[in-house]
Amino acid sequence: MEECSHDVLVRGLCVSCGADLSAEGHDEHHSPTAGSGLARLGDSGLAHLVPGALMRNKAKFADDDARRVELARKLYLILDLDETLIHAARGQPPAHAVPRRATPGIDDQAPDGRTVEMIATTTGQTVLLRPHLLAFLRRMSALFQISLYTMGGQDYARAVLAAIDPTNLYFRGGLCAWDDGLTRSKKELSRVPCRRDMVLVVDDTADVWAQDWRSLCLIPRWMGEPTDDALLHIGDHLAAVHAATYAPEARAPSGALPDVRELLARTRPTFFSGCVFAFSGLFPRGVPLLEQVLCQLICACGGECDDELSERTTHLIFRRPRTDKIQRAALMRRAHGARPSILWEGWLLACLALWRLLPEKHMALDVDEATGRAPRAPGVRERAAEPRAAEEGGARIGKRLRDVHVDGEASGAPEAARAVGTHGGQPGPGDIGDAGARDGAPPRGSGVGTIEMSA
Amino acid sequence: MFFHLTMEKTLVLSPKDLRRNIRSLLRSKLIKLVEGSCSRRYGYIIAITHIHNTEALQSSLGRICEGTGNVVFNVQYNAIVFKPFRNQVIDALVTDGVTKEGFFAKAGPLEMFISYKNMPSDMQFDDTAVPSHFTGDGGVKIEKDTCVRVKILNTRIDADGMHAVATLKEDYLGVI
Repeated sequence: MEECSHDVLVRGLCVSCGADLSAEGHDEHHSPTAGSGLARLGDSGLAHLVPGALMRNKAKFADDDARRVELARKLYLILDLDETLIHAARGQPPAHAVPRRATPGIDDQAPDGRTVEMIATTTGQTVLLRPHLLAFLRRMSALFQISLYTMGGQDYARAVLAAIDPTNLYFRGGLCAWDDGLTRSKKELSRVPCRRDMVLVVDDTADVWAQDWRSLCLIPRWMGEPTDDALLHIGDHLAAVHAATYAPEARAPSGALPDVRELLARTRPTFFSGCVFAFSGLFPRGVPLLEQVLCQLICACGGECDDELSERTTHLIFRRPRTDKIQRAALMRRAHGARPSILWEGWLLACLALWRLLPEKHMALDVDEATGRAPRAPGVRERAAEPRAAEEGGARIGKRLRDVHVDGEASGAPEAARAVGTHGGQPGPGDIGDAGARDGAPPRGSGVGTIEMSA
Repeated sequence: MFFHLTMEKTLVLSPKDLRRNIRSLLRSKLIKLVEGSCSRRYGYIIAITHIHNTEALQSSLGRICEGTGNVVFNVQYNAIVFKPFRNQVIDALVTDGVTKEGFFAKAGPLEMFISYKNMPSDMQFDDTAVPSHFTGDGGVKIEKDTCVRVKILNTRIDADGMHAVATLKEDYLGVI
C-alpha cells in the first residue's frame, strides 16, 4: 500500500490514514520533512472549510485540489471584499441604501441606478452590496472556485460572508482574512492553497499584490455609489480568460492547462500602446518605477513609464494638484500643444480596470488650471492642501468618471464642480451621503453629479 | 463502545456547605462534575447509575483540610461510559460542515471527520447544490442529517472532547 503523506490533519489526526501526529516532532517516524512544516489551514484559507484542521504539505494539497478544480473545468478566483464587492457603511446608512429583499430564486434586485441594496450583519455593520454583486457571484461560481481574501479580520469577514452568502453557495474556496501578526500591506497567493498558474485575482488595490500582479484584474474602488457596473465588465473579462484557458487549442501537447497569467496578458488589450506615462505624487522617490504594480500593469497594457517628464511624455498622472511636475507639464503643454495630458490618478485606475482608453476630458487639468489660474466658483473654499481630502480625491474622481460614463453628458452643477475638481478633494455634488448643498455648491440634480473639468 | 464502570472521584466541600443535606449536595456536585466529562482513559462519562457509599459519607469518610476548613470526600460511583476504539464501526449523523474536503459526523459526543479521500470513488462532491452534498452511484446522497455507518480510523480524546477520523471506504459502510 502506498505510504500516506499525512497532508491534512484534523485535531492532530491525519484525515486519510488516521495516524496521530499530535506529538509531531517527538515522533521520529512522522517528523515533518524539511520545508513541509505545519501550516495552519487558517493561513491558507481553508479553516473556513474544515474547522480545526491543519495542513502539512501545502504544495501537495494544492496539487490535489488543482486536479479536482481542473476536472470541474474551473479556475481559481480570489476576490477582495471591501470596496470591491461591498462597502461597509459606518454609522447611519446612506439615504440611497435599501434593505435587500431576499426573494427565493432571484439573486438580485435589478440595479435601478438610484439605490443600492444593503444587508445588516450579525455584528451590526451595514453592508452595501455593489450593484450586480450576486449575479456576478452566481456567474463566476460556475466558472471558478471562489475564495475571499480580505485585509479585514476573521470575525468581520465571516459576518459579511454569512450575510452575502448564507448557504455557502459561492465562496466554496474558503476565506483568507487578516490575522494578528500579518502585515496589512501585502497579500500573497501563497496563503491560498492553489496553483498559481490557475488563479485570477480581483482587487481594487494594486499595491498589495506586488508579488503576484500578473494574476491581478484591477477593479475600480467602490465607495457605495448606486451607479456602477464594474462587476459586469470584470465578469466579462474573467469569463473570457476562462474560456481561453479551456479552449481545446490552448492546451499543451501534454494536455496540461495553459498558464492563466499569460492568457490574461494576451486577453487584455494593449490599449495604452503609444502612451508614455510620467507620475506626480504617486510613488516614493528612489524606488524603481518598474517595481510598482501600477507601472507593471501599464506596461502589460502596452504603455511605457518614465521617471521624468520628457518630450515623449503623453500623460502625466497626478494624485494631488499643484506640484512642480504639474506646473512643468503645463508649460510643456503650452509650448507643444496637446501633450502631455495632465490626468487624475482615477483615470488611470479606471482605464486599467475597464480595459480600454477612457475619454480624458472629464479628468484632465488644462493649462490654466494646472498653473493655478483657473477661475473658482464663489463660495467654494480651497482645501487641496488637506491630506485627507486629497487622498479621497482619487476614489471620488474614479466615481465621477464612471458617472460621466453612465450619464453620458454632464448634469448637475458644472461651474461649482469645476472648481471642486480642480482644487482637489472638496467633495463633489454627486458624493454619497452629501445631502444637498455643501459649502455653497448647489444641490445635486438627478442624484448623480458629474464633473466637467475642462472645456 | 459502552462500558459500565466503577470509578472514584474526590469532592471538596467548603465549610459553608456543611449543613444537613450534605448527601444530596455531594450527589448533585458529583453529577455536575462528572457527567459529560471526558478522559483519555475512560472516554466520555454519559450517566451515573449508582453512588456507592453515600450512607457512610456523612459520618466517616470526610477529611478536614487544615487551614482552609474544606472537607474532602472520596466518592465511589458506577457510570456508563462511551469510549470509541480504532476499527470500531459506528453509526453517526452528518453535521453541518459538508465541504469538498469531506464532512463531519457526530455519534453522540464523538465528532468524526470523514475526508473525501476516505469515501468510495463514486462519491462526488456537488459543487453547485444547496445544501452542499456528496452523491454516489444509485442516488446515494450525503448531506446534513444523513445517517452514515463509518469505521473509525483513529481517535483523539482530550478533556475538551472526543475527535476521530473515520472512513466510508469499506464493505457495508456508507449511508444507512
